Amino acid sequence: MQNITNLVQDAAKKLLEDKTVDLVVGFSGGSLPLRSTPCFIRTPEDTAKLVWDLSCENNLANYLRKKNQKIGVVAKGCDTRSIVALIKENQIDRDKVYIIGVPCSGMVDRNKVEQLLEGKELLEITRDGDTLALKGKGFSKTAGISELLHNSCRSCGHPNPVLFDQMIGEPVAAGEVDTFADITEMEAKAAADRRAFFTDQFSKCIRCYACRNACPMCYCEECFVDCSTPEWIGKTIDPQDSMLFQIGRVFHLAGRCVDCGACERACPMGINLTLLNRKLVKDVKDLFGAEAGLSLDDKAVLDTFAPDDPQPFLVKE
Amino acid sequence: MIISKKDIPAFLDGLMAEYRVFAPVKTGTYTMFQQLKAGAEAVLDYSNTKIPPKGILFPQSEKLFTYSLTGEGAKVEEVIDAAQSVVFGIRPCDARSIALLDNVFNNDKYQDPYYLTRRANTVLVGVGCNDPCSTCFCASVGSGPFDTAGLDLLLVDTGEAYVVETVSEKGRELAAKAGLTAAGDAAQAAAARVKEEAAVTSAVSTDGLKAKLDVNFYDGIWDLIHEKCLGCGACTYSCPTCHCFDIVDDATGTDGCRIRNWDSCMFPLFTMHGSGHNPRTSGKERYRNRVMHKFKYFVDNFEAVACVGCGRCINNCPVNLDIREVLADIRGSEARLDK
Amino acid sequence: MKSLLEYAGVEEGRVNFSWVSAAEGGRFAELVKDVTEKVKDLGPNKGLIEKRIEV
Repeated sequence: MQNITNLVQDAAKKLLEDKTVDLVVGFSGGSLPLRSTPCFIRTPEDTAKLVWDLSCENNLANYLRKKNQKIGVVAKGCDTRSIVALIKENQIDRDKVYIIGVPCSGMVDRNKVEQLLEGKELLEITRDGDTLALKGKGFSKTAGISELLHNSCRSCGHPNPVLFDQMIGEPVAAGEVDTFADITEMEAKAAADRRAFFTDQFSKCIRCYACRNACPMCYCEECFVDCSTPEWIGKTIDPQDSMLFQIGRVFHLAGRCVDCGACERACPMGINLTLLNRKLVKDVKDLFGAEAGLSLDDKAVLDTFAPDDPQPFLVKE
Repeated sequence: MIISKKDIPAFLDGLMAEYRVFAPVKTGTYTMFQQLKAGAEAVLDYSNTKIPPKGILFPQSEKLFTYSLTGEGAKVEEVIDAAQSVVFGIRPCDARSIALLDNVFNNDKYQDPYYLTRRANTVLVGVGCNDPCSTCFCASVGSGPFDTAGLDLLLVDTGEAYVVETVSEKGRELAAKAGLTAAGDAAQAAAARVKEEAAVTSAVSTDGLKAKLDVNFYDGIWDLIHEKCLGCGACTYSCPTCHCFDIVDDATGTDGCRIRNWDSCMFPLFTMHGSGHNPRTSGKERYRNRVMHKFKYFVDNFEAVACVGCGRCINNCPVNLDIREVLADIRGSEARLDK
Repeated sequence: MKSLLEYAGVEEGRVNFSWVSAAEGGRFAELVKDVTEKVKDLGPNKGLIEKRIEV
């Protein structure tokens, strides 16, 4: 990881020195342990701030839409899939973005760390190969990195950048094919149990819309939930209102969601959003054999009509 | 006065006979203020709750009144919550924020009956912080780990017990009702020592901050400061002093109600006028407003900074936009008046 | 949509889709009758998920 940091810095420096780009969007060290933060580098000297580690969890494709400058971006597998999806929707001009692709072995989930530490504050973190040493006031714990990764990272089928102008480091072993075991497990439950589960999850929702704002594919100038004339969706924190917002958002993402997990990572209340999102990612894969963001040549799946499209939703007459 | 930690569950159960009691409760990974069903639910060993307890006095979604149309005309009923409540275990930063909110909901222009009724009927029992977190910067904004602003009683953790300090008449009455015993000299000394040793490690200088904010509205620094902000409301809804709200009607047929919901200046339609004009169309303008409101406008209006240094915005921000860094950047910048 | 709503906990049979042309008057009437009966049998809609806060 140290090595990758240096390679990223060098790549960014060269891009800015050669004026290939006007701006590089990457990560710099955060103000807390196990945090890094998006940073916007405009001079070759500032590239020394760039880092690459287990905390680079944000999807930087979010910052690339509708920009006039030539921008370089440090992008992991999921980020590049978002970029592909955004290029297809004319939100990013392929010629205006230079992708520094970084193969990714997963990012650490802070919620899992918090659970492991039982709410105690993390003050220092050190990596030793495949394990992390987590230290706080008067305690120290170690854990295997793979246990602490985000669920979306553990089931990731595309850890290597799918589109890039430059690749940093070696590609990582291609992920196992995603079986959507988490969704199949939910589908097997009784409808009443699922209802109860989602009621419980969405009673935590504080309607901050971090999920929507962290999502690169959510870019409507006026989101359906913000509109109050008319008020399509209730703005209260009743779980039914929150659930309706999330159902609407998931539906608007159908066929476009690249399953990057940025929504779940952004949620301050730790809601299992992917258990809802991935249902449609799975449905699109099962019904149309399509995954969003894999190739610039793919047609947008729900924009394309074929006479033999499956229609399992029709009423049986 | 003094109360032993093992007597706390019984103390809270006793209060529940007469009051609605709210205390920190473990809910999954996080700790949150909830209404207790039993005294034993309260956790005493926690740093702070994920979101502040201001929702007890100023709920995120609150019915203001109901209305229905009948044969005789329209019937409107106000919904005022006058239940007696105790909030146990509130931290001094959060209690101070209530004192700051009092400026907003109770001033010569407006007295909010919903907030003020709850406020008058709620006793705030605080627990001081022996061990502030690395993100706590209360001492930099006029507060501290044993600050009493907004509190009725302050409990100081001396290990096996809490030494209880009376801050207000309301607090004195509650302590008397609970029949708390007097604290001995040893306990008092232990409390004094705990207070001395509690250290706030994170410091943010506010020297010259207001002066810079008074002149830097058009400064280019705001383009850089807001750049990574996603424009969500995580900071707003985690903040104990944020108080902006939106009002909506919810009706079916002839029955309905008017509801007040929290709103965030980070949202794009926050300043949308009825005319269709929106003075803050960009994230930069909205983020600038957030900082200005807390560190300039509130100071201009009420002579107090609308930030208590609880650090929740730092912990909950999805992109780690740290207000401490923002303030340092502003202070260190050369403010210019050109647009 | 149907898949998502049923996954979220709406009872099977409450959400129904069909392609009906304006020229298929008779079929449309039959369809509406059948769906109305089906939904009536399910009882009142409990909402997407449980409503907690009575607003």
